[in-house]
Parts: sequence; structure tokens; C-alpha cells
Amino acid sequence: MKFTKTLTSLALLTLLISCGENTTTSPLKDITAISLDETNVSIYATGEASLHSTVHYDDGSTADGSADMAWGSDDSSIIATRSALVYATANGGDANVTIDYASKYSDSAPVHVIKLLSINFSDLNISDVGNPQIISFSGNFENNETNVTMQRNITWSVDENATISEVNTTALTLTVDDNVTSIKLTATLFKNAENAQSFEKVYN
Amino acid sequence: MIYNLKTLLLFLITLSSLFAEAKIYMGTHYGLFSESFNDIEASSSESMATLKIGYGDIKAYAVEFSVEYARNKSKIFSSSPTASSDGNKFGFNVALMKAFDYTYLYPFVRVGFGTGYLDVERNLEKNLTYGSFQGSVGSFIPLSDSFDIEVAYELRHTSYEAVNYIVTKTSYSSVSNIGYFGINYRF
Repeated sequence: MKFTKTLTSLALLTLLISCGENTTTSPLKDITAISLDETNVSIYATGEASLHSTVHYDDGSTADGSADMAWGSDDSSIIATRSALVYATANGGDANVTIDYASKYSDSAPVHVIKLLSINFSDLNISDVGNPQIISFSGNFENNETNVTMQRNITWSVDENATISEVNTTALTLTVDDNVTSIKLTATLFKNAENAQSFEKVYN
Repeated sequence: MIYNLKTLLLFLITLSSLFAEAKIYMGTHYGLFSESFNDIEASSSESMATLKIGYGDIKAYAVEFSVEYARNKSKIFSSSPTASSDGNKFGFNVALMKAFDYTYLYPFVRVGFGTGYLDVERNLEKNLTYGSFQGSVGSFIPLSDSFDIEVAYELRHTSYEAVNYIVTKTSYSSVSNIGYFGINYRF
């Protein structure tokens, strides 16, 4: 009797389980592509740009994937990347910024580096010994833009007649050390690169 | 000293009673499962086959190691338009069981855990691994000294490897009701 009851119960249970349904269309979305939002990028030789990438799904939705991609450059002698930040490694040139995910998805976009032609400097009173003086500067670039701030890639130095105490993107603070007849201020673009370039200003 | 000897004697008697009838046995199951997902509206039901080896007493305790296979007919994880369903599902389980002596029947309870993988066709995944916890109740029905039939119901919780959406990774879990019968041979 016990045996029959057990078998009957289990047979009914098995029957119930076998009546389950099968999902035939996946309720989960999947990735179809990734893309760079910027299609044509220009950056100043002394500048940088934050780029963005988008993940596209098969249900039509998208998501910001900027932080999840492997960012790179097809010519590191022209541009380089740090995450989604792209910056120049040469004074002028063209290269492509690339994104990749797991070697499965990728995209790229051309980047043009706008060449720095010259630097504008404000005046300096070299007879004002011992007092910090602020020298403003800005770049003149090949696209005819002037007064462009210089965010990166510039290293400032001065000869032994003065001391630089503070530098930002638009100005530096310089103190004349002694009674001198001239002071040479040098801005070096890409100081540690093979294509380093110097811009000098001599104050008399 | 006498107390210690009594304790030792009692321990040995208990041990011998636990393993007195212990044998290595092998078995195979055929079952049906019905799987429902917790976070998404999806379900799967199909048959599954299990091959196992165990050591223990049909009337008392045993430990079992099993491999199982199922061919999913549901399409829950796969996104490829060419895939009609998710693919093969292989698992490996370890379980401990306690059976009871009812003369003609040996009902048992069993708890265990397992791991395995499910073949899928997604753009970033070809399979998803999973981990599971199982609890089952059933009975051995002895046919002879060597052969017995096993029928049981199992409740299983499964956690699948997170699905990669690049921006996020999402894990899914399910609860399965499994009914099976099988045959065991005890050496």
C-alpha cells in the first residue's frame, strides 16, 4: 500500500513538472555594436579632449561605455590616450583614435592635431628685481586661432637670471633674481619626445 | 579509565552501525525538470540524465558524486537568431544523504551542491557556468540485494555566471523542480 502511494505521488509530481513551459524568445538583450560618439576630432597640440563611446543593444537601447573600452591610437607618435582622454604627442599630424572591447567590438575616428605656431607673451619688467611678476601667454595655432589656453605638453624654463614659481594654463609667475640685462624664457613642447620643439622669449 | 573505554566502545559501535552495510554503488537517473527564473520572465523544462557513484548504506547514510546532462529546449540566454535554444547543460554534483529503514521502502533526504555550465550563443559568451544547491526527498525501493529503484523529488537553486553587457554584468538565478527515477547497483 505504501509502495503504491509513493509511486502514485511521484508519478503525479513528475507529470506536473513535465507540464512546464519553455521560453522560446530570450528576454535578455545582447550587444550589437560599440561606437565612438565623435566622428571627427581636432585637438590642439597643447590640448586634450574627452571622447565618448556608446554600446548598442539589439533591443534598440544604448549605454555610455566610455569607461569600459580599451582606448588607443594607431599612431602613438601623433596622439595618445589615457582612458577616454586623447592628447597630442606631436606638434601637428593625423592619426586615429581606436576603441576595442574584448577584441570583439571596435571602432575608430580620425584625430587631427592642430599645430602650435607661436606663443604670445605679455611684457616683463626686468628691472623689477625680487618681486613676483605674472606673465600671461597663449598659443597661435595653424587654424588661425589665437589666445588659446595651453593645458598640457608645455614645460616652462628660464635662464639663471630669474625663477619661475607658479605656472597654470594661461600665466606663469616669474621673479627676476638680480640686476640683469636680459632674461630668456623657454616653452618646450613635448619635452621628453623625439619631436620636442622650443619657443623662446627674450626680455631685455 | 573505565569511562573512557565506555566512550570508545560506544563510538566504535556507532561507527560500525553507520558503516556496517556501506557499499559502493552506481546508478543512473532519468528525470524531468521545470526551471523558473527569479529575475526575468523565463522558464525551461526538459528531461535530464544523471550518472552517479556513491558510497554508503541504503538504510542509513551515503555520499554521492554525480554528473548530469540536459539539452535545453528553451531560449533564455542565447541571442543569436540562428540559435533555436540554449545548448547542452553539463553538471557535477556532490550530495550527502540520510535514508531510513521502513522494511520495504527506504525513504531518504538528500542535500548537495554542484557546478556546471550551459552552452549559450551570445556575442560575448559561449557558455555560462553555474553553481547550485539542491535538496531532495525520495525513496529507494529494493529489488534485490544488489539492485534498487530510486524515485525522488528535488528542489534546486541555481545561480548563473553574470551576463556581460559591457557597461554592467548581471547575474540570473533560478529555482528548479525536478522529478526523477533511476536504478542503482550496489557492489
